[in-house]
Amino acid sequence: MAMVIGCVFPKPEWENVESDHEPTLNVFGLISLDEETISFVDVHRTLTLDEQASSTWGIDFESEYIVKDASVKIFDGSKQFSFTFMPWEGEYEKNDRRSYQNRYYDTTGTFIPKPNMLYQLSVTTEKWGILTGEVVTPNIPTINEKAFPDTIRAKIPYTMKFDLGGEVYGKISTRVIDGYYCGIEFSRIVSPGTTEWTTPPNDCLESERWQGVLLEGDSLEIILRTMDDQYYEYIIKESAGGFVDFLTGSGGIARSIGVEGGYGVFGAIAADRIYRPLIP
Amino acid sequence: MNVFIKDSYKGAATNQDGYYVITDIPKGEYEVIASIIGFKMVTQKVTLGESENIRLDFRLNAAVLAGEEVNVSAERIKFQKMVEPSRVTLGMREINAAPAFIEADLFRTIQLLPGVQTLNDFSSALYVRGSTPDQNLILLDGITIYNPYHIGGLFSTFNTDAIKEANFHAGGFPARYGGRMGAILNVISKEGNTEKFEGKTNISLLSAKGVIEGPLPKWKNMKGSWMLAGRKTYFDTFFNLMLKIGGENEFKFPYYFYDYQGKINLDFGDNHRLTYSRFFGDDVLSNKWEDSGDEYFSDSREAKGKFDWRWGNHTNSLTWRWIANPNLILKTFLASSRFRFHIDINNESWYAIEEAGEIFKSYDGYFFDVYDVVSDQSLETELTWIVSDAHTITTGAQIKNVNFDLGMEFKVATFDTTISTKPLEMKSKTGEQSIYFQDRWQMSNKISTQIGGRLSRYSLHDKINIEPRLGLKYFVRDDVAIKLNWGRYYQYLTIANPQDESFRFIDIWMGIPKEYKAPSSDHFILGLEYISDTDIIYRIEVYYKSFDHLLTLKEGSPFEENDQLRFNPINEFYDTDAVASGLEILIKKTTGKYKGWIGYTFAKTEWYTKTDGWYPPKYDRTHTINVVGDWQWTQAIHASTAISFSSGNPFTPILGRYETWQETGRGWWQQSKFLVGEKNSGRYPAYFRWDVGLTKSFKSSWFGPGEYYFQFMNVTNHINNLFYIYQTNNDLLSNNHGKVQRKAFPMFPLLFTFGVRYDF
Repeated sequence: MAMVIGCVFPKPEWENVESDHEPTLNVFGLISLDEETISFVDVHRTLTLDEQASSTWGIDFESEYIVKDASVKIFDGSKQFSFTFMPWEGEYEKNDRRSYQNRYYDTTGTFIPKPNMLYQLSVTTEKWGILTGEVVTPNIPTINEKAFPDTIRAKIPYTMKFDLGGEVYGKISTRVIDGYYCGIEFSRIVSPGTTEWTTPPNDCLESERWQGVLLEGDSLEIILRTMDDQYYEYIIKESAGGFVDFLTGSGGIARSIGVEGGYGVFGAIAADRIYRPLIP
Repeated sequence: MNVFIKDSYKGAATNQDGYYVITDIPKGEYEVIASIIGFKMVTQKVTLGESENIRLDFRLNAAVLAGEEVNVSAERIKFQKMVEPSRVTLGMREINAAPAFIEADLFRTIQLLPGVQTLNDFSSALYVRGSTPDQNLILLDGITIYNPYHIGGLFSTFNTDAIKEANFHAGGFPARYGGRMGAILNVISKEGNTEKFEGKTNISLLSAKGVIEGPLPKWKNMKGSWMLAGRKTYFDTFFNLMLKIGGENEFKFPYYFYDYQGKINLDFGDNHRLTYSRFFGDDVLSNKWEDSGDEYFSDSREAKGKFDWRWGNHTNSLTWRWIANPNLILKTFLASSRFRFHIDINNESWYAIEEAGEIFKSYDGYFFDVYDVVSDQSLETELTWIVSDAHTITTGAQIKNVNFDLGMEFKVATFDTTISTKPLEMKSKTGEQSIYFQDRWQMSNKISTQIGGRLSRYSLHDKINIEPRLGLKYFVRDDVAIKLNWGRYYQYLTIANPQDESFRFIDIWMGIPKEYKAPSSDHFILGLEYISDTDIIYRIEVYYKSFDHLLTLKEGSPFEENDQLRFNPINEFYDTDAVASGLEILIKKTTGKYKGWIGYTFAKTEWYTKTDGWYPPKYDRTHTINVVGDWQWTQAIHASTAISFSSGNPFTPILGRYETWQETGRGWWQQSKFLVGEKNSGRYPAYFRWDVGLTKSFKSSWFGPGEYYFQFMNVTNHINNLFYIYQTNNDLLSNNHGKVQRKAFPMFPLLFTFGVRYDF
């Protein structure tokens, strides 16, 4: 009447993973028409399985991925601009400029990108080869300030009207300046052709005790960013896709969008923003 | 069952209702023999007059000891009559004889046949000649079973004690079957005993199962039989008891399953039979919790919640069979089948917070539901005209309405606000109407044909699909035949599960959406069969299958809806093409002291999507050898073994590391990832498993005859990879410091089980 169950588990051993992968360039180039964002190029490479990435989040430690000795040039059809590598200086600077450390960018102040223009990228390295890319910048979007409420009430939805400036994707995001208030910050992607959008209801729960307190003078920054298709495909869609495995972590087949000779993306963005007083 | 005339090759195989016709017999005296694997052979003497029709009913008793049954000529009759290729019939004894994990399982036995591949040891799902399990039509007494598994595929739904036989068509199946393009498994449940009440039980610490059967009371010209079988696991109860004894009483084992099935046959006179069949099964994974106490932000808190997940099948069918005359049979069938899963998770919390002498009360509630309900109603009618012993025409019509209700609901509530959203709501009502025609004709001693076709219409597509089915059999000699088969098959439903998942608890069924084409497949099969003087079957078959418009889920891919980017993983698919080809060898011996089969499969399956190109699916195994043996050692001791050796399954290898850039509120940051190679371009090491079973029968004075059984799974404790686990070696003292390493996560370890069965 009884059943006895026994089992003996085998003990698998760890083994080195062999691969004949040859490292190649992996680049993120961004042409920015947003006055608060500098155009830059990240020149990285892939690693073999014997090489360690020193950090998973880029610049907090010296990363083996970063290529520091590349020649990076941007050509706008009439003039060529050389981008210079800004090394990691070991500490944060004012205005959060760490975002531009370990990156290549224009240090001369002469590179001022224009809307609806073709830009060509060239990255040359000794060890990892040459990568090229092209992107057409989007037009600068506009938020219709006249149709925008003078004041934002934190718990009341509001409607904004805008012009994306062409058949491109947009992203609307908000940020409380130097503060926090529960349920008011968000970002939302809008499709090409969209001209109006109403914010969702503030669904912050009562139990969220850390709702923050609005003080007189607090304001909300509303940013409307547009992007070219290459940027949208790589940055927006890729962030939701790719290969995610609960055992192996995240991984995937590296993609090349707008670049040749390696992996990565060459994209462009533009933005408009307005500020409004924020009250409870 | 096979019925044949002694000392001749005249005979017939019964249909699934047990009906048979033998025609063109001259007047005289004959001995008519009925036999089926696992039952004692029965012989009846009969005297036949000129042009006389005689009805001969047989009742067979199970052979208590293997080897008692005599099955010679049965295989030969099948060899002569069957035109369709790739068909294997498994009897109750064959299913129960193979070594099993905990208990005998129909699907586990079928997995050992050539052409059938497995994903891993934890899954009993059938991957047949490049087809995925959702492309198989699984029938229980003619009713479609949508999710024929328990515990996410560890066991099949079918209680082997309640099965009479199972017919498995790996491909090239005849016109009466439609709506799927992979394989057919037609499970016929046991008829009740028409003479006496009897039963069988099997009790263990993990589960109990039993079957009882008996005759219906006779009244006027009505008679009949009934059968009821059921099983339930109670390892949850056992486990919880062990925890209690051990002093641990917080955790409760949250899972059990149960199923029962019944069948009633009622004969009105000689020519009318009503059959009612029912199946009900559920898996339940459920847990509740309650909590109270102080929290860092509140003065008191009470919370309660539950996780409740149920999934299972529920079927009913009513069949009326009318033998209009001995050569004309009309069968009408009304059935309903429902598969549903429902995940219900909720958590509610009440807070009390004291601030400045005032007490503020607060409440949060989270409610999450995911469900999929498939509701199938079918009406079928079939007319069989037995023109002669060599010629049978079958025609019929089927109407099937299937409703799919797939959804997800999320609700958040506070004292004064409730926000609910349905991120997924897919309801569809689909219908399939089809008519079919099938003509099996033994044109001469050399040539038999089975020609037929099917016209089918799917309600969401404004189109009638034509599905020709052609079979040809050529006898090179009396004992050697060549079979050729071609057929086209359409399918009108699919599953929305990720294609690469290693564990699948449930299938998410949905009708083929209007905007997608119906998947279809062409089967080409060429076979050579030889039956030896001792009725050993030797079969070689080669096949080629092409698939068009398969739907494979875009996992995690975003799509736009109402100007918003959503990440719904359910209703976006890649249009996928596929091809499968292979060679199979089967040598099968069904009689004598030693029984079993040796199967070899060479198989190559490739899928094509725009994103990945051509790649082998995860279940593809190039070479597979299965040896299944069944040995009646002594009258009381019976031994069995199953050896499976195959190429490893494909996996996607890791080649290196790379980074992707992501946008955050403060800039762009990199995330390090593994760089992977082409999809499924690597292979795990070869798979090997050797299972052994031993059964000793005895007679008990309390219950009746019984058996002890011992089962050893994976006796060599071979490591078969389910998947790899990866790590970066961080041991500074190791020579491999900094290197990426992997380790196999194994499938079944060496397992030993023991149990007792009783008949009464």
